[in-house]
Amino acid sequence: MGENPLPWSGRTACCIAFFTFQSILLLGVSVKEALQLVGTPSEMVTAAARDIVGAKPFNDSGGWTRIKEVLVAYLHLAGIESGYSFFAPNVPRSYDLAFEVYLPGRIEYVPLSFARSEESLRWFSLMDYVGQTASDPVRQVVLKLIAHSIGQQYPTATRMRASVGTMVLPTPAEFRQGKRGSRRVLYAYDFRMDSGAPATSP
Amino acid sequence: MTLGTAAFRIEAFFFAPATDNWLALLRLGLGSQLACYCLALNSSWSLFLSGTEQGLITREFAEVMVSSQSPFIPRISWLIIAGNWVGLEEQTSLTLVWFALFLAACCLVAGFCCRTAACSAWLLHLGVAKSAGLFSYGVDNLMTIGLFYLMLSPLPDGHALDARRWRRRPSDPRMLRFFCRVLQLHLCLIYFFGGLTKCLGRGWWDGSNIWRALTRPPFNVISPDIIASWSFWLPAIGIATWIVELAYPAMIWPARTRPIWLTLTCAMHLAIGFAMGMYLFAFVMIVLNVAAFGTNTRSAVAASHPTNALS
Repeated sequence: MGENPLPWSGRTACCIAFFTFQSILLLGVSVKEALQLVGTPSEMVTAAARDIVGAKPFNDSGGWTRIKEVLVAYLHLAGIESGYSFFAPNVPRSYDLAFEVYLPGRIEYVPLSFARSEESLRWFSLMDYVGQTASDPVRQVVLKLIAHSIGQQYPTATRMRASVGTMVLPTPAEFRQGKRGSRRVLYAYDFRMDSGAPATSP
Repeated sequence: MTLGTAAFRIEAFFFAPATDNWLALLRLGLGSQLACYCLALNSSWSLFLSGTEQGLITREFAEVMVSSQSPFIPRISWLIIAGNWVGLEEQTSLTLVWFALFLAACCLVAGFCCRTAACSAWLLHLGVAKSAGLFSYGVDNLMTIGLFYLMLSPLPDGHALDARRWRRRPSDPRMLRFFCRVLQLHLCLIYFFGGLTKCLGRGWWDGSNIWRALTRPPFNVISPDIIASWSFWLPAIGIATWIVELAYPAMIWPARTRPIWLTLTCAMHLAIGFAMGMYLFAFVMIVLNVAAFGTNTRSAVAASHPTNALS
C-alpha cells in the first residue's frame, strides 16, 4: 500500500493534467458549436449542463460567476473560445454597406470598400456581423458609429441613409446564361446629422 | 491493459525525446506571420483600433462586448490607459503598440529574447484581436493558438540567436515532444470538426459552396467567368475539401500517409490563399501544419522504442 500506480513524476502529471484540461475545453467548445449548427440538441446539452452546475457547491452565484469569468478568459487567452466551423455548414451570405449622404442641393452615394486585401477581409468580417446579428439595436449602434466616422468628411450633411444589403449570386449555369449578381437591401436606417453627430430619424 | 502499461504508453506518446526543429519552424513561421500581419494592417491600424473620431467604429464598442464575457480578457485599452498616465496620447500609444508587436515579431524571427518576444507577441496580438473584435476573422484565432503554444514551449530552440549567443543549455527533449503533441492533437481537432461541420452542408456535396466562396466578395479574386467554365469540377473540389479535413486525424499520424496528407492540406491552404486572397490565413495554417507534422521529431533514442511507430 502507498505505492504510486502511475510511474509519472510531478512535472509529467502536471503536463498530462494541462493536456486533459485543454482537451476537455477544446472538445466542449467544438461540440457545442457543431451541435448549434444542427439546432436543438445544443439547447438540450446546455440545459443539462446548467442542471449539473446549478447543484452545490457551484450554486453560489458570486463564486461561480468569478470561476466562469476566469474560465472564459482562459478560453480567449488560448484562442479556443470559438469552434472551427469556417464556412460550415454552408458559405454564408456576403453583406455590404452603402451610405447616402444628403448634402445641400445633392445626394452623394458612398459605397464603402477597402483596396488592400487584408483590410477588405476585416471590413467584410464587420459586415458579416452587421448583417447576421439578431439584435437590431446593436446593428443600429454599429451603423451609427460608422455614420459618425463618414460624417466627418461631410460636415455640411443634414442626413445620412445607411443600407445593408446582400449580394444574390447566380448559380454557375445562370451565370453562363448571362445572369449576374444583384444587390438586395435588407436593412435601411436614416440618421439625422445633428451638429455633425448622427441621430436616428423617427 | 493494466494502469501501469497505459501510463507507460501515455508517457511514451507524450514524452519520448524529440528534437527542437519543429519549435524553430514554429518560431520562425509565427514571427514571419506576425510581421506580415503588422505590415498588412499598418495603414489602417488607427482606423480599426482608435477610440476617437479616427476610428471607424470606436474601439470601446468591441471592448464592452469583450468585458461582458470576462473582465480578465486582455485589451488594448489597458495599454492606452497606461500611456495616458505617462502623458502619451492615444494615437502615440497605438503607434507604440504597433512597433512593439512588430519588434516582437522580428525578435521571434531572429531568435532573440525568445521567451520575452513570444509572451509579448501573444499578449499584444491578443489585445489587438479582442479590441478590434468586430474586424477579426479566423486568422486571429489561429495566430492566438500558435502564439499560445509557442509561449508555453521550451524556448529558445537550438537554432535561435539566444542559444548561440548565451550558450543556454538545450531544452528538455521530453517537454519538446509534449508541446509538439499538444499542437498536433489540437490541429487534429480543428480539422476534424471543420470537416465534420462542412459535410453537414449540402453545398459542400454539390459544389455550390465552392462557387459561392469564390464569387462572393471579398473572396472574388478569380474571375467568375473562369470559375463558371470549370464548374463541373466544383462538386469534386467541395467533397475533396471536407474529406481532407475530416480524415486528417486518421491520415496524418501513420508514417506512410503523413507526407501525402500534409501535402494535400498545405496545397488546400495554398489554394485558399491564392484563390480567395486569404494570404495570412493560408500562411498561418501552413506554418502550424509544417511545424507540427512536417519535421522529423523522432530522435535516435525514440526511434529505438518499439511503441514509437508514430513520430
